[in-house]
Amino acid sequence: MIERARIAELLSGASVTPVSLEDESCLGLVLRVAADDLLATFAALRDSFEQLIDLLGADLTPRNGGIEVTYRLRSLQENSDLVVKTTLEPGAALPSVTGFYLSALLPEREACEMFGLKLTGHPNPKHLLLTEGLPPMLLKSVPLRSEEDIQAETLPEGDPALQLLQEFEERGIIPPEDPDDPLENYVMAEWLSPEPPPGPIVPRNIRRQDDDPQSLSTNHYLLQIGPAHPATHGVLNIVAEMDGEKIVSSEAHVGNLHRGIEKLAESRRYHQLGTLVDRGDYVGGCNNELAVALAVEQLAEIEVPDRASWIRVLMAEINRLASHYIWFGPTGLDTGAMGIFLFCLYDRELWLDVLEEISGQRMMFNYIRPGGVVADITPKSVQMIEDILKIADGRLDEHYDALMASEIFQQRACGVGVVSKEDALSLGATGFVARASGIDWDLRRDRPYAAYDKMDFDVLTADSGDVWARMFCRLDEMRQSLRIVRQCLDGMPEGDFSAKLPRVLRVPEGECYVPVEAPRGEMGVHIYSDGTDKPYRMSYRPPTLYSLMISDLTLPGHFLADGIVSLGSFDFCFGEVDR
Amino acid sequence: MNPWLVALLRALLILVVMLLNGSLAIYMVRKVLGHAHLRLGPTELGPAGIAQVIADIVKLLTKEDRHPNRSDRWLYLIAPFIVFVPSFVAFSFIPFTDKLVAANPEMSLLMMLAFLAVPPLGIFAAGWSSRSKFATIGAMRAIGGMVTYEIPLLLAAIPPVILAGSANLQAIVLAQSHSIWYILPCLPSFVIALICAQMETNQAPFDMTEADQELVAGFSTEYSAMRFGFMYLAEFAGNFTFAALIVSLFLGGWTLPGISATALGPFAVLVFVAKCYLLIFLFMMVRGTYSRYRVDHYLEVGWKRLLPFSLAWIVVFAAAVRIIAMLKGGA
Amino acid sequence: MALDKVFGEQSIVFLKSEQFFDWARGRSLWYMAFGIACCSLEGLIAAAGPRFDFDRHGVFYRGVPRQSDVMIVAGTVNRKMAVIVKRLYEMMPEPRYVVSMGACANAGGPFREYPNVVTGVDKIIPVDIYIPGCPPRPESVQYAFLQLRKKINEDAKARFSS
Repeated sequence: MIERARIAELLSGASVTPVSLEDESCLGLVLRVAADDLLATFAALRDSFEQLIDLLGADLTPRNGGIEVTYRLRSLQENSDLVVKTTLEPGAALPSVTGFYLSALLPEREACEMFGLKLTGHPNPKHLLLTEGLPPMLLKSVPLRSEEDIQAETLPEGDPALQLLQEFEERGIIPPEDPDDPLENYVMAEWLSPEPPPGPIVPRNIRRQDDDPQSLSTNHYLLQIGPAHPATHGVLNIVAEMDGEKIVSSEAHVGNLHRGIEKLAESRRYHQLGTLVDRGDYVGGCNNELAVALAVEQLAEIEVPDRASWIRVLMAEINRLASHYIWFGPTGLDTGAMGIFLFCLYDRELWLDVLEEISGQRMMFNYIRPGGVVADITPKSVQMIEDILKIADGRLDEHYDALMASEIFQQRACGVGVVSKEDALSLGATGFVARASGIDWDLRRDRPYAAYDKMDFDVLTADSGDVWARMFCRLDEMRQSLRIVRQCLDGMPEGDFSAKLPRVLRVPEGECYVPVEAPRGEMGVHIYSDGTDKPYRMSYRPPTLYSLMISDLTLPGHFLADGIVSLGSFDFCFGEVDR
Repeated sequence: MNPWLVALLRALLILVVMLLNGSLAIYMVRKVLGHAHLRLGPTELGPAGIAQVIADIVKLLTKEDRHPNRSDRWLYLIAPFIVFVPSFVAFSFIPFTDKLVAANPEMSLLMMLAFLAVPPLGIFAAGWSSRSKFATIGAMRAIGGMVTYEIPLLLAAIPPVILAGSANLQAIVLAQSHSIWYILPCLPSFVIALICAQMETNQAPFDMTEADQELVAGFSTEYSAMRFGFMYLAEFAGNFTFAALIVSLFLGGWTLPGISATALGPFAVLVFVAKCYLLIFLFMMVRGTYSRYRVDHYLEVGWKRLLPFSLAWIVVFAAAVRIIAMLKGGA
Repeated sequence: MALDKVFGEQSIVFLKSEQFFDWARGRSLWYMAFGIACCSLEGLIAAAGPRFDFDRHGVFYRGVPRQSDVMIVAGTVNRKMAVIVKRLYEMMPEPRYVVSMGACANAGGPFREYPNVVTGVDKIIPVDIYIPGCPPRPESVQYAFLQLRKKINEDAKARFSS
């Protein structure tokens, strides 16, 4: 643990006077500083805390007239967190901390656009999620649409990309790209806005030549990968500058699936939050529900029966397996191996049957709720799990043989998409990305929640940080999940599956952050409650938003084919990245 | 009879056989890959889903045929035929039986190989004229691959020619019926030919020009309707052509060991087709199983492995043939 | 086809051939592998998978809009995505069909109050079949394809009887 005294010492060394430094019950140690001191504070804390885990804003204008920005720093060695908070006037400038923690790159952009702040000192302060023309959506003064508004909804006429082309032709400029390629034009629209965005990562000029006069002179061109590309696993849009088949630089554009989960959560009751976060990381929904349920229970001080905790672990692990299958197969498919993809789908269906038997749904379970779970596990489901467990380990070996034992795949996976340990730390990698880069960290082991403290499992790490390491780590995670499922069946305690809760759950005023080890990394839920039956603000830490930054930095220098494999290996889920 | 009419009838027959084979191969790939992947493939239309191909082709024929505004129009329009026609010509050199061969020139093997080298040019034309980046990358890969894999394929065909003393496919088949199948003395050549055929027919692990996950659909990204259908069909007809080439060179063509040509009679053609489809089955299983090579590895396999190996093998083989002949002559 | 010009639009040859073509169209529906959100797991991936195997009905995926007949809008369409969905639809050659899958594509689903979300993909492109559910099961998608086939064939019949 990093003690309060040590932080005070660090701060005084940097001559920063904190507004306050207190231990708040649900959040842990909280340091409040003035916005002007923010950079100095981070400079002082950088060496003690390796990772910036979460960054979120909250509109507290009704309470104290400001926008509160919260940073969560983590020291992995000492296993302790520090929350840094600062309050800004609406519309004020937020100094960027990307100089200290690269993981702030995208979350800072998001926080600033969502709360109408200005971002200073950031290399690429563009909009991230929202479509042009929308107000800062998470401000309390911006309402959701009423039914009348929805009925009166009009979409802008015409195609912006086509209009742009027309403008081009009128001005006598030959459009550089094929007008029939919608994705090409889609990005052109962004580029050729009247004021070019300052300091883009991708050069605006397509026809750049190699500077080296000795080398073969080649024209660079711009390639749009996604959002309708078969291998982007969702609606990711990558603009890559290519030299032949090599990616020279790239930038990921997100926001194609932004649908306001955080904003909508403010209008839902605590029981209903599960339905929203399910649709965030839609592949591993149970883990998200678990995070929300744990957070609400922590705030409302609800005691959960033992059996409920065990069932939660069981469901979370089964869901993790189902989620990993839908990643292992498609990563094989990204390298061109059709077979493994369908084998994995076959196995996934087996686990989905179990999930369906227990929760009633194949996806979007809304099964784990504050207080416990919705229904008890049935004897039939236990039998189904037993049947699968008999073959599951052997089938994992088969999958290894079918894909990873092939020499061609090894050529494609080894040394591709390498993430060094330093990068993984500074970019906020968690979960399997961190473990594949040699960071020995698993929330299930290091900060056990639900009934994980009673489970016996190993955490495998690898050093190479490439696609192969990520696949290997996750294959082992699947084996460990099978072990945990087996232990859950054997040691399931008797008792109630849910605590008795009032129909309308009112949660006392407070604030808390609960992380869980979701299939894709650390998924955290940060809830501000104001004593009513609805959360005042719910923030959702998406692990894959951070993996997205990592993948973005690893792409340059790769062949297109390797870039695709590398992208696939980070297992994005765009419901979660865009929320 | 008018020789022109005969030639025309032959060409028509070959066209029909080729289209039938293409459709059958498409049906087969869906069934074989389906079963290899724990699925069933088409089952609904016709017995075991065989009419599915008819529905697919009719649908492709009646779809809207559009082309990108900025494409190189004429090249775009004729590119599918640059793929299709040489495959068709190459098809006519296949000796189905001792009598059933559409064209039997003296150097039929060389001519067949020459025509088989043209379709990649059509693929290049298709990708290039689409003016789409993914298609252009596919086109470039097609050219690189063509240069790389034509040479080992040609070299792989040399040992059977040495043994048979002729570059006529029919003569090679007949020579095998008198001695043994050339797969036994020329096993390395057989393996090289298999690899090259897998590459030339654009199948995984060498499906560089299409590479769904990288290039969306590669050279055919912008093609729709029947033009796409033609390329699709030509690709699968190519499967049969390559299988037939390998069967004729190494697996005894339409003959069976120990049975004379006259005894086989009309069944010779069945023997030949069965052998071909066994090979196609092998191609398809490989296609459904392996990962794809990266483009530089793929060129590396061609230039650094296959080419030196086949050259060395030919030298060894020719020397061995010469020595054996000298020993026999001495005795 | 130019049969209508040769034989006239009401001729038996034209109508019969159209019926035959519609038979083929209804039995070879290639959908575009383009998943937007959650529904894509059920409607596109599980659909191609071993258990549901839409390939049995001739329903198969293609990666390119140019070669596909059906677009399954599987997920929430927001304003940024609407542009792309529309252009992808325009890239598909005729005849083309759209299946709107799930509550989000039908009407915005649980996210309809959020201003960034388009409440219903039918505001951008014409939709042939709506599938309710959040998410719909693969079986419903299968049923939707059978219904779509019926619709295609009924169009031909209607023309024939008129």
